[in-house]
Amino acid sequence: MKKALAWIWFLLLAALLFFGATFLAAKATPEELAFFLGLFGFFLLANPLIFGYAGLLNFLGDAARGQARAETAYKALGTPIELQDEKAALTLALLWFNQLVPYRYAYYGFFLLLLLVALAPQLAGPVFGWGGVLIGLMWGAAVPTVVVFGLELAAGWQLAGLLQAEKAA
Amino acid sequence: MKNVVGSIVLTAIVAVIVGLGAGIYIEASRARAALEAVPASPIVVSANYIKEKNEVVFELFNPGVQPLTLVDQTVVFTPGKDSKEKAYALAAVPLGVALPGGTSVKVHLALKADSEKLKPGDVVAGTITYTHPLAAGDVYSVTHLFKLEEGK
Repeated sequence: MKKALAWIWFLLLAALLFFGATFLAAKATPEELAFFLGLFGFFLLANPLIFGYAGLLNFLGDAARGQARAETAYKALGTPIELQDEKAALTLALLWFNQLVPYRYAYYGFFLLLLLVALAPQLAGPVFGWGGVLIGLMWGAAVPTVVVFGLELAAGWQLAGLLQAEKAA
Repeated sequence: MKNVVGSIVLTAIVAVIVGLGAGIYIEASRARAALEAVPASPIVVSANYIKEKNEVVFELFNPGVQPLTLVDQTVVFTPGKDSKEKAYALAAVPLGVALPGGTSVKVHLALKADSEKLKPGDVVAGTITYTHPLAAGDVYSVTHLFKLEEGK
């Protein structure tokens, strides 16, 4: 009974999403479609960063309570090295944070490129047509960028706080 | 934990700015699409009399985005004090000129053949009829009064 109800809910939600997306696409202006393209495209690009920083934040929260499970970090890092130190959690978190740096660099690089391509033509006066569509892409891409920015900031600050506490101890 | 709160506040500020920007952009694109769907009425931006050809030239501008088609023109002549010509009308002279959005076109309103040249005080009323794609069967019109001033 419960399973059937869950399926009905799932089908209802799927149908709602399908018709919502269809009507949206049918009624949308080219600028809105560009916004959604930028949104989903950059969410895909930001995927390793979002899951990486979210996992790291979870790990850091556990480490602050002294309940960090080293296996999670080993899985994320994909390393065969196992640290036997009792301060291993912090070291692993630091490794994890540094492992995400190239992804972050690539992501912000792509976003900066889009920003420049979209904004540079506007310097010569407002451009409609292609200029407007590029700006839509830029606004769409800005949404996952805020998510990445926030998660990175939170993870970095929490890591720094734990390191400072460790140093003081 | 204090730092995490700070990062949340900072992220929230950035998120509000991005949300405002994206929302304003999307609303502006919708407003522009709605405005562009409405056909505009052509406006007469200049009217001149060319004495050699005995015709009045109207310059019509389409301020909208939708294309218009100018169907025909009607000229109504009303004499002033100095003119000996009698009032007359030339109705429905075919034009068939396409007027795309944001462009202007010159329409020549030829006065009656063998009629006198215009004198100051004479009034020529030019009526241009046009159609637009949203109501293909309907005909709209714009009328402009042209009065020849002294010293021209």
